[in-house]
Parts: sequence; structure tokens; C-alpha cells
Amino acid sequence: MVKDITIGQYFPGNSFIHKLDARAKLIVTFIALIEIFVCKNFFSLALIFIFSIVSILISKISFKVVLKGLKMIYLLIALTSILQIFYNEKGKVLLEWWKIKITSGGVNTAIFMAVRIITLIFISSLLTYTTSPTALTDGIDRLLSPLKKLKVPVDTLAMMMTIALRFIPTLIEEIDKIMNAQKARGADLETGSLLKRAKALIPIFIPLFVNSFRRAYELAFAMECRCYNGSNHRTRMKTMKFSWRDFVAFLWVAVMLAAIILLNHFFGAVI
Amino acid sequence: MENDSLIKFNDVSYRYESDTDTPLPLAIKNIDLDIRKGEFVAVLGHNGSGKSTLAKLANAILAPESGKIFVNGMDTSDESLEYEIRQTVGVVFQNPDNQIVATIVEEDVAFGPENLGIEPKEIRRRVDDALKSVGMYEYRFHEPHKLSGGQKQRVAIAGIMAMQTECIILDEPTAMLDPKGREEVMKAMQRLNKELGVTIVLITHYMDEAVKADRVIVMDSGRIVLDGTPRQVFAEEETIEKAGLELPDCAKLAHALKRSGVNMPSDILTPDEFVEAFQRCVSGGGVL
Amino acid sequence: MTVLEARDVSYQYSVGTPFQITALEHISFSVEKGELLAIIGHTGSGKSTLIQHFNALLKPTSGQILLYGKDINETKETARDARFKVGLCFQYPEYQLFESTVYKDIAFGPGNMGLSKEEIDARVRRAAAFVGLTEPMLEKSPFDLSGGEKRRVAIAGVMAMEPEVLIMDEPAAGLDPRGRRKILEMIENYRRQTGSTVIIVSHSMEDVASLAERILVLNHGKIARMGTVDEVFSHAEELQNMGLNIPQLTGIFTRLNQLGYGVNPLTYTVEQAKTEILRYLHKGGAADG
Repeated sequence: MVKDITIGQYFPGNSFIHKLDARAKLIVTFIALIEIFVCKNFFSLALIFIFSIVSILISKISFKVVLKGLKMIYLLIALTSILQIFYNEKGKVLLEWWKIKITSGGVNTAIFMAVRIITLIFISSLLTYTTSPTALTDGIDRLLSPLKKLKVPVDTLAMMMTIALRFIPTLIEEIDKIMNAQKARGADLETGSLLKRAKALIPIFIPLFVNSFRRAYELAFAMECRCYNGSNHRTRMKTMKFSWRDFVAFLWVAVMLAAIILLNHFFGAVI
Repeated sequence: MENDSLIKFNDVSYRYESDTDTPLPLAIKNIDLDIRKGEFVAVLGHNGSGKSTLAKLANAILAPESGKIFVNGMDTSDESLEYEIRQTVGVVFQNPDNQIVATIVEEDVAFGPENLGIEPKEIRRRVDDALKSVGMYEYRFHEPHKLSGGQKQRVAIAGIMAMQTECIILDEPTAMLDPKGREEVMKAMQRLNKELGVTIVLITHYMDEAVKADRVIVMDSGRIVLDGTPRQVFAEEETIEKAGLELPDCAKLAHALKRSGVNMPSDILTPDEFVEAFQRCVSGGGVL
Repeated sequence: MTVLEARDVSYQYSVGTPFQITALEHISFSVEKGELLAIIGHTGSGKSTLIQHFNALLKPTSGQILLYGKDINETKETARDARFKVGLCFQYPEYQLFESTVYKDIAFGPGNMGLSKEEIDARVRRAAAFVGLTEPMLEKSPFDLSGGEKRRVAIAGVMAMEPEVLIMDEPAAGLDPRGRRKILEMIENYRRQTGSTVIIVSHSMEDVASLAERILVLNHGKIARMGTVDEVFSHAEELQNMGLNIPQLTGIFTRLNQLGYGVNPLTYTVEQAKTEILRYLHKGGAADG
């Protein structure tokens, strides 16, 4: 169950998108996400939606995986669309029954919103699917490095993020083990009142905390032994260098931004 | 010979801090020890015998209560030398999960050299060399949590190797591994010692691992009770058992037979040696 | 009498996804009342998956697990019943301790069974005695104990449920020789005094040979061999091909036997080995060597 989460997972590969510099990818993703919200009609939205589909194709990540990522928010998409259908009263009335009125404006907005959320998920999950967590952390670290001048401990924060990412699978495995061990002692985690179920979590969380503290303590020792002291003198094995690919990507989103603004201008707004 | 000394303990004692008013007993009692460059030393002892404390003292994680420890002539109680000492003596711990920092194997191996502020190109070279030396090069892009215990432990060893330390102390590196993992880690250690001349200090409670060392030290309640070649140490069955350890079955059998009057040597280390000794014994008439 | 039976059990992880892995394939065997069965196999051979089937933590993809002839996965109640009748103690069980005192932690299992206070108390004390925990230790926090002691508390927590079958995954893993010996003696004692069925998963062939009556060998999710200790260890080569060892002394005696010395290759403990060699030497074996 816990193991089925695909959002935030990294799928190693060798595609154009995989090879982009993490900083470039962060910036391009950020711009693309803004562009989604700049879109005002179906033409501009279609452009960015196609962009997200083409990007997925280039990345060679299977659509199955991407759609699995959507699973978590099916409900959110459905809810937003339904609300739009019922509460938007613009446009022609398509259907009227009792107090409920469905208008063309409502349907349009509903579809628009759904596509927008789906595109949002596609683009943002593509970032994590194609970038190793370490590269992502490094990228954020370096993009934020000007903040070091303001005494923000960017390095330390990035290190914390790396360690968190490193230990998430280990802790998930550990929760699984502890749950099984307590179930084997007859712990009932599935039935009973809310209070009873909350109480049933104690035998899971106490060992988890105790073990995590022990891990943290041992990890701190090991890091100290490897000369980590949180200073700024650290170097990196992987230097980040922008390549022609990154400029292609920048150019791409820039052209797209221009196209979206034009399309917004020439065709009327849906919302 | 004095120049060959890598880690030197001069009358060292240490005790852990107590939570209550009554102080804890000494974990290490008046230890004199000299580990020379290029040696493969096994430190044996039951849990709580003080063998792990020894590792933390040698790496300047702990400072002695009394006495002095020198690593390549550097006093470990001098805090300004901490960095240099850890570049000379690295430590690999028991639980492989709790010493791997990064989410990709090669990035974890790079962690040490990155902390030392080494040039990116040089780090790359060291990381590749270190991974090759423990046979994990083809796993360099893997995620550590998906590796087996033996593989994780070899990544941890590579992480120390990449810092180009002269000595690696391994604190029960095989205790949590299956037989295959134990063998992999043992082979990696032997290779580093024989081919690259790295000084190895292996802390363990498995006697059959100690067989492969040049020198064996047995600890019991904070003291060194035996120090010699595996052959010399294995002959002392009584002291070993008093120290809460067990000889490998082949050695135990040789001792038992000797006590029953069979002409067997008391310094058997391996099954092969037992078979040979038995053949000699039978052709020589068997009973004393 | 048969206590536990696996009938054509197969198990697949992540069914219906690209990650589908077959962990067990057509496993059939039975465990007799009061016997000590050892399960051996290299890491990933399916041992842990198999033992989690016996107390209904995992349900077979196909096939059945029978406890006294009844399918344990028939209803929710039978599955819950199996949780208590088949006690499962995982590897490194000390990491599951959570209560404020040793006593309370051992009482967790029996408490979940809905027993009376008196019964729980009696069981906690019996279990504590089996693993050699003293009265003052029961009131301590489990987190203040040594590693070996914690392990014994955790095992007592499973024993206190007084299961008909006790399954232990690597009960001595990571302990020093003294701790190891204590745990193994404890298992022996428990079985002698309660007459319970015990299943042990272990990597140590020496321990398996000295404790078990029968051995089940798993290889890539299939039963590679099942039989008495002698039957299994007489196929030394086959075991080695699966990446498994044989006890050190068995290896030596097999070699001596092949070299023409008339000793029994199926020798496991130092005591047996000594007797065997003395027997050989006294009957004047020197002549045929």
C-alpha cells in the first residue's frame, strides 16, 4: 500500500530530459507551471498540454507510470469539475432540472480546469521522474546559494533534504516490519473506534521513533567520521554545467510563453 | 620500527559518562597497543568487552580519560588535528543502513572527499577507484536501499577508501550480514590489505574471520588478554572461552582430541589444517 | 499428528503490476506436533515469505495453509485465531519493543488475546522464566537492557501467547557467542518443557544441525529438499550449489571419509566428532588410513 506511491519517485534514464541540468529543469518547470496559469482559452491550454505530452514521450517514462501518479488526485479533479458545472452560470443553458442549471460556460470551465490540473501534475511529476533526488537537491541548493550571503544555511538545508530522501524508503520498510511484528502479537490495526485505532498506533510509533533516534545518532557518528562538519568548504563531485540542451529547453518555454500570450489575445478567454 | 607505528595507545583508559551520580566502570583499562602500517589486525571480544570503544578512541570520536593515543604521531586529544586524524583512520560501522548518506551509490562514496574540499575531477577518480577496489563499480548508479547487506557494507568501505585513509577500522561489519555478505566483505578487506597495503583493524566476535588476520587481539572487560598471531591465540582455548568467545569447531575438536590423548596439534585454524593434521596423526600411530 | 500443513502454496508479490515477482511456488509440506523443523535457504529464497503465511500475515495467491486440518484463511476469525496459535518472532525482534516496562511489553500479546488479568500474569511470568529474565528485570524499561536481554524480552513476548507452533526467524542473529548459546539453550528448554512445535529459520548450519530434527531447504521459492538432518546434509554438494554451507565438522568428516578413513561423514557437534574419531582410532583404524 505505502509502497505504491509513484509521485516523487525517480526513474533513471538517458533521455534529453534526463540529461538536462537540474537547475535548468527546475527553472523550466517553474516557467511551464506559470504558463499553465497564464492560459486563458482552449487553444493556449492545448499548446501546453501537448507540450507536456511530448515531454513525457521524449523522457521515455511510460504513460502507465504517469497515469498512476494521477490516481492520487482523481478525486480532486472530479470535485473541481463538478463544482464548476453546478456553480458556473455563464453561457447557454444546456440542461435545467429543479434548482440545478448546467450551462455551456460551466461545462467549458470544468473541462478547462480538469485539463489544467492534469497538465500541472504531468509537468511537475516529470521533474521528479527524470531528476535524481540528489541532483534535485543540488539544483535547489545552487539556485538558492545567493541566499548564503543573507546567512541562510542553504548547504545544511540541502544536506537535510538529501538525508530525508535517503531514509524515506528505509523508514517505510521499517514501518512495514514493525506493523507485521505487532500484528503477529495480535495487534488489531484495522477494526474498532477511532480512539481504539489511534491507540493501536502506539506500538508502531514508539519503536519507530526509538529506532529513528538510534539511526540518527549512528548516522551522525558516521558523518563525523567522514569529516562532515557542515562548513562551506565542501566541494562537489558533480559540477553542474549548462549545455546546449538547457538552452534549447529555455528557448522552448520562452517561445511557448510568447505563443500562449498571442493565442490568449487572438481567441477569447474561457475563464 | 618506531616509524612503522600507525596507531599507538599509551596506557589508555576510558569510561562512558553516567546518567546517574555513580560513575560507570572503565570501558577501557590501561591499554598499551601499537598497530603498525600494513597490518591486518582482528580485535575479538564479546559485546561490552570494550572493543568498539577502541575504534572510537582511535578515530578521535572519543578522547581518553587518561593516557595518550597517537595516530601517525598526532595526538588524538588535540582537537585541531581531528580532521587529519580522520583522514588517516576511517571507520566502517555495523549497521550498513545507518552510514550511507546519499541516494545514489557513487554520490555516497563521494561524500567524504567532498567534505575534504577536494577538486571535482580528483573526487571522480577516487570514487571510481574506490568502487572498483571493493567490486561495486557496476553498481555506482544504484540506490543504496535496494542493495544487499554485503553490497551496502562494501559501499561504506568504498566511502572510506575514497578519503584515501591509511587505515580502516571496521566495527563488526559482518554482524548483520548473511554468510554470503560476510564472505564478500571479508574478501574486500583482504584485498585492500594485500593489494593496496591498507591497514585493516577488524573488530568482530567471529573467530573464523580472525583466522584471516596477521594478528589477533582478544579483549575482555576492557583489557587486552591475548595478542599474537592467529596460531598463537587459537592455542589458548581456556582464555578465549573465559573471554566469552568460541573457537571454530575444527579447533575445538583438535583441543578436545588432544585432551583425550590423541596426538593432535593445538593450533589448528582451518578445516584443511585439521584434515592434514589428522592424516599425520593416523600415520604416526594416533594415540600419544 | 500434523499441526501445520502447506498445501500447494504459491505466492506472488505485486500481482497485476510490472513488478510481479513469484516468491513461492507450489510449496507442500507438513509439520508434526512437537517437532523442531529448521528452514534453510539463501537470502531471497522465500523463507520470510513462507513463515508469514503460517500466521495469516500473508495469504497464499493459490493453495492453502491448514492448522489442524482447517484452512486458516477461511474467515477473519480463523485468521485471527491463527495469529495466536502460531507465534511468529521476526528477525531482530528487539526493535519492536515499545512498552514502559518489560512486564507490560511481554503482556501485550496475551492482552490482545482477551485473557483474564490472572491468566496474563501467569503467562508473563512463565515466559519470563523460559528466557531467563529475573523478577527485578520485569519492572525495568526494556530500553535500558543490553542487546541480548532485549532480544530475550521480545522472544518472551511471543512465547507468552503460548502458541502451539513457535516460529523464529534467525533468533540468534547478530549476537555474540555467549548470547547465541543462551538463546539456543532457551529454545531447547522451551520445547522440552512445553512440548510445542518449533520452526526455526537460520543461516547457521551448525545451529540447525544441533537443534533440528528435520530440515526444509528452500531455493528460489521452491522446496529443494526436505528430510531429516542426516538426509539433508548427506547432499553436501547440492547444498553448496545453492549457495548454502554445511556444518564445518560435517565438511571435515565428509573429506576424511572420501580420503578413505572409515568415519561417519554425518557428524555435526564437537562432542559427536570426538567420540567418532576416538572410536575410529581405538578400533585400530590407523591401519586402513
